[in-house]
Amino acid sequence: MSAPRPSWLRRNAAALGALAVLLPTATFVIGAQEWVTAEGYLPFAAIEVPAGDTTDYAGTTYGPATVRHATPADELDVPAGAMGLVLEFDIAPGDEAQLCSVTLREAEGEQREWLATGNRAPCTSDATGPYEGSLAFVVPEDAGPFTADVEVSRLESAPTMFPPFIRFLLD
Amino acid sequence: MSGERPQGRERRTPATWIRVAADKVPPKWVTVSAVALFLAGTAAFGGLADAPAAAEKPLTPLEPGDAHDTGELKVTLDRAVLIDTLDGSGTYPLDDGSERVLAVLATIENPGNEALDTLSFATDQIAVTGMPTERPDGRALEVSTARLDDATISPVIQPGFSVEIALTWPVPRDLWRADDELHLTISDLTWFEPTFLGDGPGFWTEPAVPAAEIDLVVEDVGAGVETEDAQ
Amino acid sequence: MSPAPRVGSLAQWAAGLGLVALAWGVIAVTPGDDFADQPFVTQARIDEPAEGRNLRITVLDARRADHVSDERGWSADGTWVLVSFEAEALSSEKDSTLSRALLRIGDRAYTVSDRPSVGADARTHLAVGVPKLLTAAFEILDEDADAQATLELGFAKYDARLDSEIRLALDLAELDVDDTAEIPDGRWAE
Repeated sequence: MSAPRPSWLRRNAAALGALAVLLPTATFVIGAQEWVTAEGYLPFAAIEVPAGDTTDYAGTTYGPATVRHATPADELDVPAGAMGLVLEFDIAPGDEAQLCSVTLREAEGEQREWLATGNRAPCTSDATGPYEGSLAFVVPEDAGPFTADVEVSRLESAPTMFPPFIRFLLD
Repeated sequence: MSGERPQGRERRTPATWIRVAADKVPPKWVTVSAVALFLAGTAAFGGLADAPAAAEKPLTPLEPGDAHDTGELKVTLDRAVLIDTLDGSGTYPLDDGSERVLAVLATIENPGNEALDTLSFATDQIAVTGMPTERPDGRALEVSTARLDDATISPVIQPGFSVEIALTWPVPRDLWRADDELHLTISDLTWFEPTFLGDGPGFWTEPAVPAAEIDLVVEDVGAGVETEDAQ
Repeated sequence: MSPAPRVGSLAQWAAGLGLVALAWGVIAVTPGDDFADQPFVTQARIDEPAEGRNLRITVLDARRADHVSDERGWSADGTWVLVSFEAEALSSEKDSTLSRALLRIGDRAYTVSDRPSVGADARTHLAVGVPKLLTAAFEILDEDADAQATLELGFAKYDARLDSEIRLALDLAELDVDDTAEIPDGRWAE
């Protein structure tokens, strides 16, 4: 009579161990690959700029950025329960032509985000000297505090992966 | 002699002959001759390479007012008109008088179940022989479509509806004159049925294959009548 | 090697039938082939907010009209269905245009009519947290005037598969029919 065979688990321990490592690894690698393909060129790392400060982005200086409530002079159509905000920030262009798009985002909680009214693009690639970008937003009364997230497009370079974006902290 | 062997041998039926013969043939011979037979067989249907592109279908000749069924929609071309300007058409000739508007009046019927985009139809499936591709100022010369009843630009035709529209182009002033024959070609799109699960239902897509042609006599209405655009 | 323990034939039958039952159960719960093509649907009812991804819609009113006009002088006869609703985005204004606005009747999918002036088109950009009051106008065939219809609203214009959709069932035969109705421009909700 031969000795009783080791249990099924013992006999397959090596294979099971390999599975325990390979399955999560494969899931992670495939998932990461898909994520990078879909979002790899979207703005990734925030360059945080405290209120009142400026920052340099590839030769162009952005900031300081401030936000204020809209006044009747701004001629903004704002319904009850909402408020109009105007974001203003200075831009000192460098040698490289850049465009920007700006999102007003809540700093905490759900981090809801708004785009400027009228589809306006505040940055221009034609400017020779410093200028001011100004955008209006209509947001609910309970929204805030905000950051102004500026995504810079560098017109003279190829897109890079995980590009940084500028996050102005606003009070 | 039929080769009666000593006892123990099976009876020689055709099946056993085949088996014995098969045993004696080297395997390589089998594959080579099978491949050779297969290739010889493909010669019967023209070989394994892709079939050459289908021979050009003859174009259906149409008269003004005849309807042509593209499969996706039915189109009837009625008139061709030259006019200095046509407000509400979507076509804006240059101010300097170097351009006029060529308008082709058509009726499009949408027998399908989805809304139909007349601008993509006019761009992809209607071709005017001799139409330039560029305008005097260098911009691309493009067709516009508009409803005749309310001048809606690039109208969408809802399922089951039939709508009169004007296709308009900004054309060089003297390219066509009254009584010239304007030759148009109508192309049909191809129905594509996806074969993979999850790719959704079929749809009409490229290539647009020329299917019908028509000659329209050009009318010249000069500067047009005051109320032309409110037609 | 010792022989495997014998399983009673009754147990074998039971196991076999159990597996068959299990297989039948799996087939029963497996969604059909077109399930993968469905959007994530939220059924709506009049005057009740319905939420989807980044979307909240409250349908207020649906009516039929034989003649419609807008605020800029355009008008047309026909068989029209007007649906007014409040809509807002919830978390992001990126890609929050209400591109998908269909009225399905039988096999036909009518889209919001492009005939009224631009301001009146319901397929507009939605704001986060600040609702808009919009009216979707559909021009339909006479023969569909009393049919069952489904209103579909969402962000995905062409491919609805991966996104939310708000759906409302409408019995067109039960709607008020106005001789004439105005399609107001989209505006902020009160």
